[in-house]
Formats: sequence, C-alpha cells, structure tokens
Amino acid sequence: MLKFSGIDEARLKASWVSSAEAPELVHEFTSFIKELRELGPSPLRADYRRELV
Amino acid sequence: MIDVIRDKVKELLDSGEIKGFLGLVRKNGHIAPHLFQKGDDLGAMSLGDDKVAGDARYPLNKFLINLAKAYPEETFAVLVRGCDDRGLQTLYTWNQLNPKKVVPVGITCPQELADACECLKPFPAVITAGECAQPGTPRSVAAVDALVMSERFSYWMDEFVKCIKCYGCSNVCPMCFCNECTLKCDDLVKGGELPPEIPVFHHTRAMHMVGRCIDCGLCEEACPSNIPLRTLYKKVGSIMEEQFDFTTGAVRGQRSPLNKIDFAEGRK
Amino acid sequence: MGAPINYRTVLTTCTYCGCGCNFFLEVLDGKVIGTIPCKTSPVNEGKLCIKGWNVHEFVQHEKRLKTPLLRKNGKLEEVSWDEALDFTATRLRQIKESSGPDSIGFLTSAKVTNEENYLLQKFARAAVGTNNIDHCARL
Ligand code: SF4
Ligand code: SF4
Ligand code: SF4
Repeated sequence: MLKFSGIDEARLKASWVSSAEAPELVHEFTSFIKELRELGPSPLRADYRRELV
Repeated sequence: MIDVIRDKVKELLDSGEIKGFLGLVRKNGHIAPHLFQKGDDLGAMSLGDDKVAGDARYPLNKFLINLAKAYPEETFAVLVRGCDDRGLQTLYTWNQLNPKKVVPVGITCPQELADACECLKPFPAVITAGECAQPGTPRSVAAVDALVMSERFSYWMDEFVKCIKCYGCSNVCPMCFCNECTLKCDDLVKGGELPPEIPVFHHTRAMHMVGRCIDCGLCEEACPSNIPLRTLYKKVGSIMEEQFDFTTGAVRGQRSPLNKIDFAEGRK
Repeated sequence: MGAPINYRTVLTTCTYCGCGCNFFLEVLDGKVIGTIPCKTSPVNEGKLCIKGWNVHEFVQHEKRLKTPLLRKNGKLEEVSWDEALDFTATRLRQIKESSGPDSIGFLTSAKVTNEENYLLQKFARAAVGTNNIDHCARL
C-alpha cells in the first residue's frame, strides 16, 4: 500500500524479535536507523501538510 | 425486473416466512430505504435506480443489522446486488448477521453499472430477477500503478488533503461495524485537526478494510471531497487476491485469511 | 405474526446550517437511531459533513434543553416560559434605559426558520432600536 501511494517501502520495516533477544532488537534498530538516514528526510516531514493546504 | 421482485416479496410476506422486506421506496420525490411489511403497498417500490442505474443505492445491510439486533427472533428479507451479497456472506462470518434469519432477494446490475463499478461479479449468488452482466474491466488501480513513485505520491496527497474528516466513508460503509473505531479514538486521531494526518488517516481505514471491503463503492459516493477511496480499497482487495487468493465475500462461509486465528485457538 | 415493526426512514433537512442538506433519519420503535444522507437530494447528493452525520444524536439526547433555565444565586434553575420571558423583557428594558439600545446585541441561529430570523432582526431594529444583530452561520 505504501508503494501504491508513492512512498518508498524501505521506510517501513517489520521484524520478529523475541522478548529474550535484546541484542537482536538493538541491532534491528540501529541498522534500520542507518538505512533511514541513507534514504534521507521523509516526504512526510512535519510541514508537508501546510504546504499542500 | 421490479414486477418479479414485487411478486417475490409479496409471496414471502404473505406466507409469513419473513417479518419484513428491507428495500427501497420512491416517496416524496426521493428514493428511501424502507421496510415493507405484510399488507403494505408494494407499488412504490424502487430498486435504487434514479437517473442512472444504481445511483440511489443505500447500505441496506447496515440497516438490517440494526433491525436484527432489535428483533433477533424475526426473519427479514433484504434487497441485494452482487456487492450486497458479498457483504452478507462476510457479515455472517463476522457474526453480525445470522444467515438463518436473512432471506436475500437478489437483483443483477446492468452492464453500464458493472463497468462503472469495475465490478468483478455484478450479480448475487442467488438471482431473483435480472440477467447477468459481464464483469467490469479493472482500470482505476492500474491507472495509479502506471504512475512513477513521485507522481503516485503527489496524486494521493493532493486527494487526501481534501479530506474534511466527515467520517462519511465509515458511517455509510455496510462493513464498518466495530463498536470502537480507531479513527474515532482521540489518542490516535487528533480531534479538531483538518485535514487529518495524511496519508495515515486514509491508510488506516484501508488497512481496517482488509478482508471486509466488498467493493460496493458507497464510501466514494458519500465522500464530499470526491476522494477516490474505492481505488484505494480496490488495491487492498487486489493485494488480498494476489497474496492469499481471497476475495471478500466471494465464497460462502469463507473467512478472511487474517481472521483465521480463531480456528487455531479452537473457537468456532 | 405479531404487530408490525415500527421502522421508518424520515426525510428531513439538516438543522445545523443554511445549506439545507437532506437526509433520512432512521427511526426504530420511536427512537431516532441513525442518519443517512439522501442520495437523490440535489443539495447534497448523498453527502454530509460531520455535523449532519451525527444529527440523530442530539435529537433525543438526555441533556437537550427542554425548559428555559434562569441563573438564580449563581445556579441555573429550570423556570417556566412566562417567568423567563418576564425576566428577559424587564432586563432588556432596564439595560436599554440605562445604557442605550446599542448596548444590546442579538445573536440568532441557523437552526431556526428564516421567518424566525426575520422576526428577531425586526425585534432588534424596531422594538429595541439597534442594528446589533448577527447570525451563527457567520461566526
Ligand atoms: S459493485 Fe457490482 S454488484 Fe455492486 S452495484 Fe456495482 S456493479 Fe452492482
Ligand atoms: S468521506 Fe471523504 S472527506 Fe469524509 S472522512 Fe472520508 S475521506 Fe474524508
Ligand atoms: S467500497 Fe467503501 S463502503 Fe463499500 S465496503 Fe468497501 S470501504 Fe465499505
């Protein structure tokens, strides 16, 4: 649905991490944050609506 | 077609098989939802075609739920088109209606309506009157798919930004029956903010229609901002079809694949 | 078969603003349970705003005012129409005499008829003598 709306699907990530796997969770977060940084600012930044209205 | 329906309804009412027939009536120059009961005049009955075919359709199943809740022991007949029939099948699986208490009176849609709706099945499973039209050709979803990403983004954002948050899309929807609606939860959708947070507001509704939307198009017709909501939900439907081989309401008794956890837990 | 079920859809006009959208009120056993916009209405063509969609909620709401309320010793109390009108007329006269007619203003409503709105502006201009009159649809 994101793709259908013209939003890069790489901006959404779903991972299965057990509550016992804290390091895994940390890894998921840090790597995803890195990926997001590389993608640059979201088209849905805070003022997008004001510009449209 | 309407004479056949009148005869059928009269027969059902006279035999006492049903308490009432939920259909449409032409009165005061308008077409209105109406409950026909024994002895009522069926002369002013309407099938929901005013100026063009199907332009005065109403979410009859939604009213049927209200009636069935107040009178659970009674059996009602209801006027159904293909989409309404898909709706009934789905409402049964969600325990909103009891199939033993509902008698569908089915009509087919003419080709022009099937084309306008891009309808996959413009007729109900059991047809009381009418000839089956060919399925309409899907166009609207493909038209968006043909755009490049940035065009899709501005297309949808320009549409969503028009939203006046009237909640008409969910109020009119025959498949929206939750007591607590995410879109009406203050913590998730801020009150008094217009337009609502886009595209989240519309995507949330789209996600909630997974396995529920029967593609009747009433939401888009009710949207004062003419947002192509149906296209959005059609996409949801096509993803369900591709991924799970599931079309909402197409097969009697078939539950949404996302609702099957009930089986695993051993509930009915 | 028992008595017929009292289920009706009643065509009416929205009372919230001057547009005049048409909708059906769904009435079951004397209770207004729902609103559905009228598709064949040339005014709103099956659409409504959020106020219109929720009209059925205020019609029989328990908090709806049914009698005039008058503040006595800081507390609102239910009073008769006679008492309310007497009080209002007396105070309006007093205020007009002490501070002049332009110290009084009138606000009227989209929820009443044109004729009632006309009456109130007539009352403001002719009886009280002020042009201070406005209407909620302009606020
Ligand atoms: S969606 Fe299909 S069944 Fe429903 S009104 Fe349109 S053509 Fe008819
Ligand atoms: S019907 Fe249209 S304007 Fe109203 S809430 Fe839904 S999308 Fe927004
Ligand atoms: S097309 Fe719209 S109104 Fe009809 S079931 Fe889907 S979401 Fe609901």
